[in-house]
Order: sequence, then structure tokens, then C-alpha cells
Amino acid sequence: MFKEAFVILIILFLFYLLCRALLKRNRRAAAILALTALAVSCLANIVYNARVMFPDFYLDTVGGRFRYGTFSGNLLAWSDGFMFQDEILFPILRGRSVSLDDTAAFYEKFFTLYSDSCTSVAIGKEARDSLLAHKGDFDFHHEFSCIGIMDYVTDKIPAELAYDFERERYPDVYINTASLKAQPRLTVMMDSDYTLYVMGESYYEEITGGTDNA
Amino acid sequence: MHKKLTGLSILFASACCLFFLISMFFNNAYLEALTYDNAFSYQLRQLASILLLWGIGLCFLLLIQSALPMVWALLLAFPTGLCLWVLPGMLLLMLELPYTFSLTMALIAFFFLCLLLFRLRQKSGLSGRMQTALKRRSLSLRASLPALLLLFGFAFLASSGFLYVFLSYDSYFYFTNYGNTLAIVKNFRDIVGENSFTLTNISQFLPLLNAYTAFWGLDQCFQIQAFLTLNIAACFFYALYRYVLETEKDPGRFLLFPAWSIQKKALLYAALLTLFLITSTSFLTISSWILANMYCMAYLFLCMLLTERVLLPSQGEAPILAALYFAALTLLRKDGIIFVCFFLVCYMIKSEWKKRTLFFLFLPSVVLELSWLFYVRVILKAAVEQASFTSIANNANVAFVIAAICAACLYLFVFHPLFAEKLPFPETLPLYAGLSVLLILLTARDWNQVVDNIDMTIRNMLLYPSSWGISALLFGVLLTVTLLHRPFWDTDTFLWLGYVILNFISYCAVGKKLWVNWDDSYSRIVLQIVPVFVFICGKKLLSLLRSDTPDRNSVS
Repeated sequence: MFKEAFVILIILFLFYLLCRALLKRNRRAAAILALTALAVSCLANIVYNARVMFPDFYLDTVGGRFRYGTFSGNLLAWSDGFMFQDEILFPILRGRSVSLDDTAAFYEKFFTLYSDSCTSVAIGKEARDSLLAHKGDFDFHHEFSCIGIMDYVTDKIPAELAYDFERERYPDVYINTASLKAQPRLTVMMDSDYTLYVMGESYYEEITGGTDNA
Repeated sequence: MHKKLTGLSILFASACCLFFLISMFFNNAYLEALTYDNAFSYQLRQLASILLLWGIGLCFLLLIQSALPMVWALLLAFPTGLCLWVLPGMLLLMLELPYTFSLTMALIAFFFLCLLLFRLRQKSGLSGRMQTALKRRSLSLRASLPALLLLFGFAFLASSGFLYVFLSYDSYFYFTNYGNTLAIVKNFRDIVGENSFTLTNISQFLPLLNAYTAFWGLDQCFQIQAFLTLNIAACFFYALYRYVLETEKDPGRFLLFPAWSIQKKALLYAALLTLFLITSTSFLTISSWILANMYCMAYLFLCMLLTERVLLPSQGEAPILAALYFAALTLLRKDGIIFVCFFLVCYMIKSEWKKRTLFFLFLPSVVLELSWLFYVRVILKAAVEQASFTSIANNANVAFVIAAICAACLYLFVFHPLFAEKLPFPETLPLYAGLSVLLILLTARDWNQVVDNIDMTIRNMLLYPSSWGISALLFGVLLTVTLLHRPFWDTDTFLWLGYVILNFISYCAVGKKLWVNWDDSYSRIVLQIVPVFVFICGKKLLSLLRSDTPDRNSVS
């Protein structure tokens, strides 16, 4: 790369000599050149950004390429192809109460911190089976990376997850986004492999017939 | 001219307000499908969160105002407000008092009350003069109405939700999520764990700002960054405009547009350079990326502006603002204190401030840095399992920070008085020589590391795709043109070149290996100085547009 940098330096030096000569002979022409160069630079920037940066802004990172830029990142931090899509959980939990599966003690601190309130609920085998039978309704699916990276949201990592957590492999989170609209209460169920299923309470009741089905 | 400007700014603010209202309907479906919230309320809270910080800053500036023009008070209010939110928050957290919105606001209100009492005591018995001052202030407020409307327009734009933002791992985990968690747990103790990365590797300014927006029930602080970006662009434009007006009283000396008035010429010139800055990929990258770099860029630029005597009065509020911005820089990055030390040296060679003033504006940053180190290392006993090399849990890094502080004090009390009195050449020359010696020593210590780091820096600036885009090349052209007039070793050039070299040295000194990537840390550090660089080039380029003899045919 030093060679390329050296060539650029030589070109800039020649440009400097040209400007210097121009400045001595015709100061007005030098001033016009300077302002024109500035205007052309602005135009070049706009063209570059319009053609390269805005439409397809990707950053190389560990583990492959993913989209960094988004035009609608202000209200919800959820963009397609982003490696931390599970961040969507934070706006989903804000202002809502959560009924958390009583087998999901590992996730209790997380849901207690980020939701309005978190209560434990017993979910019977029959209810679990009927929810898992409707897995197709859970349109959002992503690795729950927050639970591993934010070390202050968990007290102790279960032995069966420790190996995967060390290798930055985390359980999955499924969300039924259609069931969330206008729902102040959510139900969160955990599967035996620590996979989470997040849904609106009315959807849960519709599928399982209520919370008293343990 | 003023009436026309006011009319234009009313139009701009109204258009932004309309855009803000329309955006609510667009965002409504998008937001309500997933959250248990209302887009109208959410966006109004975004707007209120911006305006409150701006209001805090403005109150403070009006309380301390003695020579600061009203337009500058309006433009500097928001960056100042950010500091005034973060510093009391840090105090509460380090004193292990509950970090809540009401307690922080109470602390700010108490501080303002003390300041007000102090000012009233200063002016007791001078009610007539006070009334005159108030009258003058209301008049200047009327004169600065366009700036006020412009800022309101920016606030509407930033709260609209249609922003271009880049999000990375750090944006979420070390700033947004961590800040939100701080607002919930209200202390640092609950964050300490076996691997306290957020306490030992991350500086607390941005998490505390995220905590501020979390107190408003918002998910992120993107709107704060967007508003700050627009605010800094406005500062850049106004500073350059004032600079042209203050330094050039004779429009006849301008070689182009002889029929134009000096105001028109200044407007065109400032607009062109501002457009050049805000369209450059490097500025767009750093201002859209949710990291601490944008805030560093803003405060570095403002610190530079405080050295411009033609823009801001050197006495009065400027040292107070410098101390505040220094404290912000210290809290923004682990290496923030290095930037502060560097700017302290720049102030020594560029400003008229006395040694004592300089020491007192440096002192808060030193106290903040050392107390934070003490708090994390001794009181919290925070440690890290990973990335200890880059953390403040690493003794070598702490030693480096202390060495930088000692070196700055040594320069202030020993070398600067010596150089200022006895040197027959500019003081920047021994500074460049000192930096060169350090670089040579580091090269002698580890030749490969230094050469590799230079190579990586060049690659990051020139290779496609990079966070620089084509900016590095265009900046090269701009620099070449500005070299025609002034010597390279002047104090203005030292502001950016010294910064670039010093930070390179600091990276090499702690053994940091740079890499070719968008998010290389040193590349982002260099991107932070871009507005300072463009402003200084703009100042120098101005002399190229003037003739030595004025043209008497032109309109004054």
C-alpha cells in the first residue's frame, strides 16, 4: 500500500506545483480553481454517497458481512439481516407485564429488568404441546445473543449451556409478532433446550385455554 | 437581510414541524405492531428529551453569560446541556446514591440555584445595570431568532424517526443496552461481575445519555446524536461565516463576485465548506454510527472553536466552557484524557489564557479521570476476564494515563514558559520535534509494529470500501491547496496534525495493533478531527481568495 500512497503523494505534489504557478501568474484564476475544486468535491461526495454508501452500506466484521445502516433505526432497532435482531425484545418488553414459564428461572432476571413486571406461571405439558404445535405462528426467530453478551442480566449460567456460551452460541428466541398488538401482557414459555417462545397473552389463552392448565 | 433570514427560518421550522407530524402517522403502524406504546407519545417524548437538554444548557449559559453572543449561547446550549446531565449523574453513581431522573434534575436545579445566587451577589446594588443587561439580552434574543428557529427545526427533524444510523455490536451492548440497564438498576454495583467489560473498557458518557432517554421511556438515544450532528454542522457554518466577517472588513479584496456584499460572500463560502464537510463520507460515517466518536468529534471541534479569538471572547465564559468540554471528553473515551492533554497544550500556544486559568480548566478532567480509576479499581474492584489488555484494569494503561497527565502539567509549568520566552521560532517546532523523537523511539523499540500500523492507517484511508469513502483523497487535495499560503508548522495545523501524530504514538506506545476494517479504532479517532481539519483548511483557503490590493470598484 506504501507504493500507492507514494504515487498519490507525487500526484498531489504536482497539483501543488500547478496551483503555485497559477497563483503567481493569475491569482484570480487560482481563486476560481480553488472554489471550483471545492464545489466539484461536494458533488463527488454526493455522487459517491448516493451510489455507494446509502444504498448498500455494509461493514465487514467477525463472522461475516451484515447490514449496519438503516434509515428506520430510530423508533425500532430492528433491521433485516442484522446479527443482533433479538434486540427487538427490549421495545417489546417496555411497558408490558410478563408471565414467565416457571421452568425458565434462568431468564427471570432479564425479564424482571426489562419488563414492567414479571410473574411466574406454571405451563402444563398439554399447553406446551399445543403451543409447539403452532410453532409456525412464531414469525420472528433469532439467536438470543443478549442473554450471553450482557453478563449482568444473568446470575449463573446453567451447566448444560456453559459450553455453548463460551463459544458464543446461544439459545433461540421465537416471537409471535402478530399476537403482540395492543397486548399489555405477554406470556413467555421455555422449551427443554432453553428456547424461548414470546407471545401476547390473549394468543396464549386462545391456544391453551388459559393459564390455569398446569 | 435579518427579516429575510427570519422569514426563511420560520419556513424551515414549519416544514420540519410538518415533517415531524407526518412521520408520526408513518411510524404509528410500525411501532404499534410490536410495542405497547403510541408513536405520537413516543415521538413527542423524543422531542421533549432533546429540548430539555437544550434548555438546561441554555439556562446555564445565560446564568454565566458575560461576553458570549446570544447566537453562540443558542448554538452551544445543547452540547453544554449534555455535559450538565452526565456530570451530576456520574457524581450520583460514584457516590452510590440512586441514579434517578428526579434526583439528577434536583442536583442540576440546585447547582443552577447556587449559580444564580452567586451571580446576584456579584450584581447586588446594580439593579439598574441589571435591567439594562436584561433589556440588551432580550434584544439580542430577537436578533438571534433565526438561530433559535433553525434549532427547533433540527429538533423536529431529529425526532422524526427517519434517521440514517449505523449500529454495531458496541452500539447496542456497550451503550444502548448498558445505558438502559443503568436507568433500571440505578447504580454501578449491579453491573459488576466476573467480566465487567462495561465498567473497565467503556467510558460512561454515552451510557449515561442512553440512561437519560431510557428515563423518558425511549429505547435509544439516536435522536440526541442526530440533533448534535445538525447542531455541530450549524456551529461549523456560523463559525466560518463569522470568521470571514471578522477577518475581512474590505469586500473589495475578494477576487470573486465583486458585486456581492461581504455578508453574501461569507454566506456562500461558509455554505460551500459546510456542504463539503457534511457530504464527506468520513463525517457521515462518524455522525451516523452510534458510538462515542460523534460526541468526541463535537467536543473536539468546540474546543478548537474556543481558541478562535475572532469568534468567541477569550475571557468570560470560554474557560468555563473549555473545562466542561474537557470533562466531557474525559468521560467519552478511555483515551479521552489524552485528547484533553493535547488540547491543553494547544491552548497554551494559541490562547491568551494565563497559566493559572489553564491549570484550573484542566483540573476537573484530571479529578474525574483519577476518581473514576480509583472507583473502578479500588472501590468496585471490577475486573475483566477478556480484553483486559485494553481495559483500565490493566496497570500499563493506568500508568500511561498518569504519565500523560504528568507530561501535560510539566509542559504547562516548565517547558511552555521557557519556550514562550526564549524560542526565536514558533513553539510548534519543538512540539513536532518531541513527537518525532517519541515516534523514533517507538520505531526503534518495535520497527514492525510502527510500520504495520502506518500501513494499516493508509489502507483504512484509501482502500475501498472504507469509512473514509473518497474523503481522504479530497482532503488531500484541499490540504494541498491550503499549503500554498501559510507555513506548515503554524499553530492551526498543529491542532489536527499534532492530534493525529500524538494518537498514533499513544496507540503504538500501548502496543495496539491496527487492522484493516471499517471499525478500526485509530481510524475512528482520526475521523473525529475531520471538522477541525476542514475548518482550518477553510480559514487558510480564504487567503487564496483574496488579493493583496483591494478592488475599489466592488460594492461594499
